Amino acid sequence: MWVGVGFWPGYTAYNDPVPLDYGLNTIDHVVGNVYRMDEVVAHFKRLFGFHTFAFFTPEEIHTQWTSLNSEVLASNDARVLLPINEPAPGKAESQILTYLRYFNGPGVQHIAIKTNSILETMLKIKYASYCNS
Amino acid sequence: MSMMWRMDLCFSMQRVGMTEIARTNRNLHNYVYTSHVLRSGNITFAITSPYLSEPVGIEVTKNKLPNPAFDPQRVSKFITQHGSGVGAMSVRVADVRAAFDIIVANGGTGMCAVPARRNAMARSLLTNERSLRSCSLSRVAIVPPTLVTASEEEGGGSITFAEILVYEDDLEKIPSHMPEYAGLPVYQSNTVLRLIQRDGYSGTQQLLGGRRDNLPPLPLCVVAPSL
Repeated sequence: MWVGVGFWPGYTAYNDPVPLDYGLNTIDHVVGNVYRMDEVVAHFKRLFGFHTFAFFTPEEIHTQWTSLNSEVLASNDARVLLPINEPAPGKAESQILTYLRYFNGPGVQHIAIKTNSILETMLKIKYASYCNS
Repeated sequence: MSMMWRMDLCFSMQRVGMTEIARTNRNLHNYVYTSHVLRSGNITFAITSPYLSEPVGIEVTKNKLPNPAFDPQRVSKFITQHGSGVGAMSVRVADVRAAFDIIVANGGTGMCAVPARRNAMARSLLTNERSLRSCSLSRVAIVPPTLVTASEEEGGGSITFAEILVYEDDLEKIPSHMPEYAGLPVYQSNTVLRLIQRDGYSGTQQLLGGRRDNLPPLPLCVVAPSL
C-alpha cells in the first residue's frame, strides 16, 4: 500500500486544483471475456498460481435470452480476483460472444470497484453528472 | 493502463470522482505518448495514448521515456483493433525477477510475430499487414524485468516491472462451433499483466503549473434567473 503522488519515475506530479473523492476505494475484481474458459483458466492457474474461487453456470447467470459461463480465479490471499467469462448457448447470441465480436478478441470486460457507501457514491456521481450536463 | 486515442476517458473518470495526480506529455518532453494518472482511494488508473503509430525517431527519445518498454506501434494496433480498453493490469509483487522467472518457466509468454530479437528490420515488417500474417508466430516475452530509476529530484528509489501477456488472440482457441470467426487475422496487441516492484520509490511533490497549494474546492456559483 503506497500513499503519495509517486506513480512512476519520469511522470510529473499534478496537483488538481479541485480534488475529487466520491468514495471509490479499491479495485474489487477485473473480469475478462474469452472464447474458451477452460483453457484460459488452466493457463492462468499454471502461470500465476491462482485457484478457483467460485464457479457460475448458465443456470445462475442468465437473462431471458442470453447466458454465460464464469469462473472466478483468485490469488492465495484472494486480493487479486480475475473472473473469466465465456459464451454459453442461449436463445440469442451470448453477450460474451457479442463482446468478442465487437472488440475483435478477448479482453477485460469490466473493472469492479469497491466503495465505502454505494448509495453515497452514487448520489455524488449523479449530482456531478447533473452539474456537468 | 488504459489505451485510447482521445483523452475523453480522463474526464469521464473525473466525473466519477477520480483526481488527476500525475501526467506526462509533449510539454514534459515525452514525444512518444501522453498519459494521465488518476487516483481515488487505492485505485490508480493511467489513461495513455500514443502520439505516433510508427516508431519514427523514437530511438532518439527512447532512453528518456518514463516507460522504456512503451511500444507506440503495439499500443496503436491495440486501439485500432480492439478500441479503447484495458491495455495492462498492474499487480504489486515482492520480487519481479523471481515472479517473472516462475511464470516464464510455466509457459507464460507473450505472442509476438518476430523472433526473440526485436530488431529494426523485424519491426518494420510488422507495419505491413500481409507480412504480419505470413510471419510465423513465435512465443517470446513482451517485456522482461526492467529497472526504472528515479532521479534525485524525484526522491530516489526505483521501480522494476515486467509484462506478461494474459488475454491473447489465438485463433486455435476459437471453438469449433464458432466457425464464422476462424478467418479473422491474428493480432499481436493484447492485454498484459504488469508486475511491479517498488524499491524505495514514493515520489515527491514536484508540481506542475506553479500551483503548490491544495486549494479547497471552488464554491458553487448559483445564478438566479432574472426576468
